[in-house]
Amino acid sequence: MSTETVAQEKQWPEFSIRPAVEADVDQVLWFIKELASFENTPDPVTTTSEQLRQILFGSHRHPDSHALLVYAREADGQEKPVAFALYYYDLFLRGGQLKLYLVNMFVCSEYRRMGIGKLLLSRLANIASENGCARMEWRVQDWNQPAIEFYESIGARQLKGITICQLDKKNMQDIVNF
Amino acid sequence: MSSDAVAKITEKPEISIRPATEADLDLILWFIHQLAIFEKAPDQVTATPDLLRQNLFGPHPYAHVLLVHAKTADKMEPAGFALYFHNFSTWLGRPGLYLEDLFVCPEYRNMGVGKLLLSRLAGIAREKGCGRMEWTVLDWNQPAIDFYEGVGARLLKEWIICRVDGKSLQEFIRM
Repeated sequence: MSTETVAQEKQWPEFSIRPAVEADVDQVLWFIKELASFENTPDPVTTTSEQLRQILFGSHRHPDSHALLVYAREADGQEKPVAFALYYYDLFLRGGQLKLYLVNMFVCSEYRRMGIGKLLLSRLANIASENGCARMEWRVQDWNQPAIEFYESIGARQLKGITICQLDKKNMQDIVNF
Repeated sequence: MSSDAVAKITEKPEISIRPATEADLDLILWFIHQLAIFEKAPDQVTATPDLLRQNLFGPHPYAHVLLVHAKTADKMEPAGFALYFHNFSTWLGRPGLYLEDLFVCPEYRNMGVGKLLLSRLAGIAREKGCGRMEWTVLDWNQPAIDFYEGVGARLLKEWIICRVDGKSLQEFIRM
């Protein structure tokens, strides 16, 4: 996919989005760690470059996952990575159809409120549609008010009355031995 | 994979769990409907046998199904199902198992079928090197919540699921 440039207001840099390639693995991992830091996750990110390479570019990878990188071109012509999104396709059975699941999305703090979130979500919606997905889904933490307001403003629904359950490795091991 | 018979539960039917095959499509669709009815959203099901066939048994299966049967002296009946797929955790760099649907027929509840299914799924997850298992529960489903907490699952209460479909997905494209 070729680079797509979008001109922004004069005082903002020019942003472009492109799919991540194998050479970008370390950059994507850096963004993942930035996001983990922002989300206040209690455990550190233990993913290695090699594991991420397998997830995004492995020939037997499953699910089919991809990443997008957003670059900002400043007045001096320098390009720097400022945001990313990581997603995959999965199934929602009631519809018998695919959905695009946005695993991670992050915009560097100094580039927020410049329309990057909209750019990314719009590109992702395009990708979803091109790939036969009837739905796009992601998660937000209930304390992340700016994100919640942003998603509401663009028409995303927040599902009420449903809670995510998680079982870690140790508890999984206990259940195997039931 | 052949049928795996589990030790008989006294005075209860013999429960067996096996992976579904293409021959089970109608049964899978029936279970999906049962689950939708239970979740008070019976109109949500738009899956058809063809779509299921493509997505479950085609060249690139997106998900897998386990079927539970209960055997008594004179019959073998479907008792439950689970539909799952593999995702991954970018924090752990490892695959995860996502349980999309789990349903036990009312007449077979409180017999340990849910535990057996979760146990089988945890075994599958372990074989694949999964770092975690995840699913969702409806807030009013107290028996399920109690069961899941009882097996050590954490409820991630601070996370909200956001969704865009249909018309709003089209509007997103034009943002």
